[in-house]
Amino acid sequence: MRKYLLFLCIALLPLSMFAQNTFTVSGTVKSDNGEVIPFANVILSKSKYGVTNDKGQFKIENVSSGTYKLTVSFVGYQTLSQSVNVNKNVTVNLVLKEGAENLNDVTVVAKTETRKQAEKVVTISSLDVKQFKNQTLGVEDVLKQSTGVVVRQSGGLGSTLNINLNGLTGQAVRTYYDGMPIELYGGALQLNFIPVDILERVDVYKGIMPVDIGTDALGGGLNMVPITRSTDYLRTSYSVGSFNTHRFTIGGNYNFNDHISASILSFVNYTDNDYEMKNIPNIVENLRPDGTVASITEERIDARRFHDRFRSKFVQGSVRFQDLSWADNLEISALYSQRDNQVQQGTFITGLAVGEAETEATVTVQRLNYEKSFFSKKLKLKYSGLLSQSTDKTRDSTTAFYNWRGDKLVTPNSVGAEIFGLPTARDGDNSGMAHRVSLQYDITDNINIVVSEFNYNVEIEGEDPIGVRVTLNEGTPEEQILDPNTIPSKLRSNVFGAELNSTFLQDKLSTVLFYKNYNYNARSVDFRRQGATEIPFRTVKDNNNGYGLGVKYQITPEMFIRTSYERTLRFPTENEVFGDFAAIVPNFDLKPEQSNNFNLGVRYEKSMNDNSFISVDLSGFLRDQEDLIRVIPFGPENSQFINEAAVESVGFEFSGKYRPIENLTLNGSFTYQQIEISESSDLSSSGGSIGADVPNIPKLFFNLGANYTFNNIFRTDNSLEVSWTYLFVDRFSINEVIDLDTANPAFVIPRQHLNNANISYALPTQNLVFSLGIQNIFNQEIFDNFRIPRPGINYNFKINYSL
Amino acid sequence: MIFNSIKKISSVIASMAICVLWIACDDGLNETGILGDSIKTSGFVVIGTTASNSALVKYYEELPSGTIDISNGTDFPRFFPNSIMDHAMFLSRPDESPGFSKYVVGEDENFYEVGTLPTLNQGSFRIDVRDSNVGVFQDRATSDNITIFDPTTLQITGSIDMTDAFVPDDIGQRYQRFIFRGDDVFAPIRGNVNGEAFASVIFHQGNLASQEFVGEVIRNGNGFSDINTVNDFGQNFIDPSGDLYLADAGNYNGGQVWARVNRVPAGSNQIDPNYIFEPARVLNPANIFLPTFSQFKIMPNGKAIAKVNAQTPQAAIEIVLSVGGNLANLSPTQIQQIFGILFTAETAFWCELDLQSLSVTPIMGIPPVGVFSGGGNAFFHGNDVFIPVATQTENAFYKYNPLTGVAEKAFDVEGADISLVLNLANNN
Repeated sequence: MRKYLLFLCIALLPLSMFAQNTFTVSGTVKSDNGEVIPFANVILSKSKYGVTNDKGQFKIENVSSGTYKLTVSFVGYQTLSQSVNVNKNVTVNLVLKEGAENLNDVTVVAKTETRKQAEKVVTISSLDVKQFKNQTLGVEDVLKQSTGVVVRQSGGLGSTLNINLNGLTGQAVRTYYDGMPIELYGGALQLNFIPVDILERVDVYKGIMPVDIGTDALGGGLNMVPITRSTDYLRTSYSVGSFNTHRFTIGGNYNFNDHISASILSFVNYTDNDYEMKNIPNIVENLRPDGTVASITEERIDARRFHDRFRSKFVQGSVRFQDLSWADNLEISALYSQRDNQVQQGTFITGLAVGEAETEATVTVQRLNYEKSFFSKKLKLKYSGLLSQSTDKTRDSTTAFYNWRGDKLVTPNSVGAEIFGLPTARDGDNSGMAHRVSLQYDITDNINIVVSEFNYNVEIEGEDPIGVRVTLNEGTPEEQILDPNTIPSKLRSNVFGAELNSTFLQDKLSTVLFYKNYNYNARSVDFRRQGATEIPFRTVKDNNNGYGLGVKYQITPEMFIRTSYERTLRFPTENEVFGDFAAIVPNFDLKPEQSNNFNLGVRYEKSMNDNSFISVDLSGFLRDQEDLIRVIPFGPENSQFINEAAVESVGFEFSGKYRPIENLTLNGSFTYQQIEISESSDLSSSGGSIGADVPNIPKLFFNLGANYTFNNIFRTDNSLEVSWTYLFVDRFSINEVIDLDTANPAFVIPRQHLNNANISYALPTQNLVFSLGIQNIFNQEIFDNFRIPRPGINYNFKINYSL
Repeated sequence: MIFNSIKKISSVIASMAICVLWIACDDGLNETGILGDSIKTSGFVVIGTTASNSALVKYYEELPSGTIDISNGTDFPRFFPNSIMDHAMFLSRPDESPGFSKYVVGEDENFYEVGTLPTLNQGSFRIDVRDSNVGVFQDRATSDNITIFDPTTLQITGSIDMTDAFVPDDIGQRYQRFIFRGDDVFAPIRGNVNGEAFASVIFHQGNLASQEFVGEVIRNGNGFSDINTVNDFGQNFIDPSGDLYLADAGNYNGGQVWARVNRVPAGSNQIDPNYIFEPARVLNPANIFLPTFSQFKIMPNGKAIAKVNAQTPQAAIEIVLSVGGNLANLSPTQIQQIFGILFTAETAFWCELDLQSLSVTPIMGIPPVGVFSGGGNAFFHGNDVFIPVATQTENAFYKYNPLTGVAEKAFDVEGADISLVLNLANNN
């Protein structure tokens, strides 16, 4: 604890030198026929004044936080006024209507990037995480409040996390950090420990991935977009909570001049995760007088987790050059991330705990982003390149058993491992390289074409002094015993995409037509090969195509309807094809998963003059998946990935946000989905499972939230924000069942109700926000994954300081 | 101003709170019945496997006929009984916890766990019961021990220290099953951690009365080719003369050590070297690739039944030809592929085996099946043997009368792939 406070003090030390308490309001002024308006007058509450340049752009700097009236006027156009809330840099795009100058004020809504994403032709739930930054939340907590997303964790902070998106799960849902597949970060950067503080937003792509983002995602993906600001700022936070949990974040940007800036994002997490689990089985050895074991029995106890510590740290520094003759934007960044986990249990809770197994990963990444426009911005070039070097360690080697009281048992562990079927002390050493180039060309004002090429290579090697071995020339004088980990495995993937975007009918109708080509080539060692005389390399390659179409029609300014279809696929991962040189055996004939994804939705959004606001999203989805990859037991010790039954999914989603008065916001989301087995790949199957629900996935879940801000509390300008979130997950069975009402109740995960609350007190003049969060207020039993209990009621206190 | 705002939102929040409380009051759980004083002592338990590898289990008071649907049976993550004794089933814990369970069928036809035998190793999978007083299991965490328990009370009554038993390369052993002959218990072994099969079939023998290791029963192979053992349900391996028959599945990997029925004469602790009965080779001497069989069981009339492979499926032959026609070149993955083919390729027949004349007679009226296809063991009821047929077109049991030699379909199963049917009235 003391060292964290020290760390906090050191981290806060430079704040006074770096502090600036102002923001920038900028934007573009256009006429209602789309032409930019130069030399328009822009007034910010009479105190700040600006004029648009020849591109219609304006920029008002050094604006203190607060709410202002922004007025724009120009001869021959109606004067426009709107309220602008400045607590960050604000971009406002304004459209002036031709006509008399003295008409009534018109409210113009500036679209955030989040809202722009939400209004795209393809279905994207863009989660604006800024609203959560005063709270101690991770990405996983925010995702739980999105439609169609089920987040399952096997424990507390840092524990194994599984995302289910519109019924698809596991590798079928790809995760990206800043547009790059997160697996390139080698396990050292994961969704389960990234605080919202370092993110701008999280884009949830449902069914379709744009060609300049996606790879081989089967059912969509999540892209975590880190904060990118063009103005000076510094923001830091520290939170302390139950289970000895400490989280520290810091982020900032500094502009050396108009063209060069530097930024940093960093976080540190620590937790013991020592929460109590109720009524779990616990093994007890009954000893004879001589100390030997006569028998073992199982008791039920309330036990505190004792080997679940999680630590992680992350720092990303960037230097950016912008608005130069040779680059609109060039960003060079370096990232370092490290995590280590103790492991407390296997797939589910048994009478034995895991007392020694640990994993660890470290990664360093260098990245370059380049953007440049040509031909009066008709041609836009984007390039992202990434180099990563990661190491990972897996330690599961012991001669001991532990029970849930933390006692070491008398009986020795003859297997030598707690999680795996074999002991392992693997050190992995992975290098990755990825390039993404995309070109957008505006053929006309209404038609553009985007082509994108994504290529990545990964090389994996390592060593395991106690793992499996491959024997060459067995029984001969030339016999050679090799650790297969030391022989590099290589994976290369290439995704080419082309996209045609068009608008018609005065931009009311938007379409996107796209094609993707997927190419995959992997080489590794067949570690189970016997009688080999040379290194038994196996190569797996495949080439496939995907395509799709999206259409959006703007029915009124407030409402649009959109639909999309994609034929897509997902290549098997390295582990799925080649195994893990331990418990997973290879399957070289594994085929890609394939899916036909269809979405249909309508969105209504309206801002009223009294600052009230409403938005409603209704959507449905269909998924028709073939050759789904899943793991099955392979003998008593091992497992193997196979192509399994076809699955059909249909679902309905609703999300809404309502702000009846300025200080109150209500929101909610609702998902109902039916995910059924439509075909079995087992030729001898009786077909009895056809029509049955895929087990272990909830059908219905929703959440409700309310947020109210009390202004001028205790002191002028200070505010108190109170928020409440309720999450509901309906019961579901971990087995394949026809009817939950007649299902075996022992294996039905009961309905779950999670209530969280947060109170934040903001002192704008001191740039401070204090927050108290309470999770699981009613101390309900929460099970995310295979009946593994999640924490009961727990608390955290967070301080945010921003400049 | 603040109070006005509070007033405005109070009704909204109150509505939400009522909604939350209403939902929170219903936990969605079904009531679980309480086991009465009595249990079902007869009837049939039909067990099926779903596409998701979970189990559906349903009780039938009478022998099923026509078409039965088990889709509304009781679901478990797994349900693979190894023994029935006194109408109770003994099996690995259905909730996938380490150890074993004793299950009964209540008068309400529901399934009740009446006790458990926890183990340290989650992969402990074999429990067998001899009679009302003696059963054994292995906790693979203490692989040198065979634990003895009382099946009635589930109390541990002793153990046999098998440390002195021979295991190739001196690695730990796991016991694939336990076969009883009086106070003797025989247990075929594989490697405990990696599941190695050995070049000989090795049975460890212990004595339940003295709780001591006795020795090994070994069928010698050719010294380098693995011979596989089997782990089916139940017992029924002793003929009316007291001879014990121990089946192995032979070598899959080119050693030309064929699957064999081995005889241990009554009173002996060794395999009779002069008794050589290789059913698949008898059925088709030309089947040189995979002449194997499975589900061996001795019928009450002293003859045996088994699923015997009559030929090697073409798809498997092509895999063998892809490695130069030499079985020894097959990789473990290719062997696994061949297993998969043998699960589905309908090249095997249910056969009656005459253990004395060493003859093999396909049972007419029963369609061909995969030699490793599902459905589990046959079960006995009255004078009939009920034989599982799980193929691409059938999911059924056939009734075979050994006295008349007539076989006909008994019932079809819908709702899940059949994995086992048990007659609660029978022990093992």
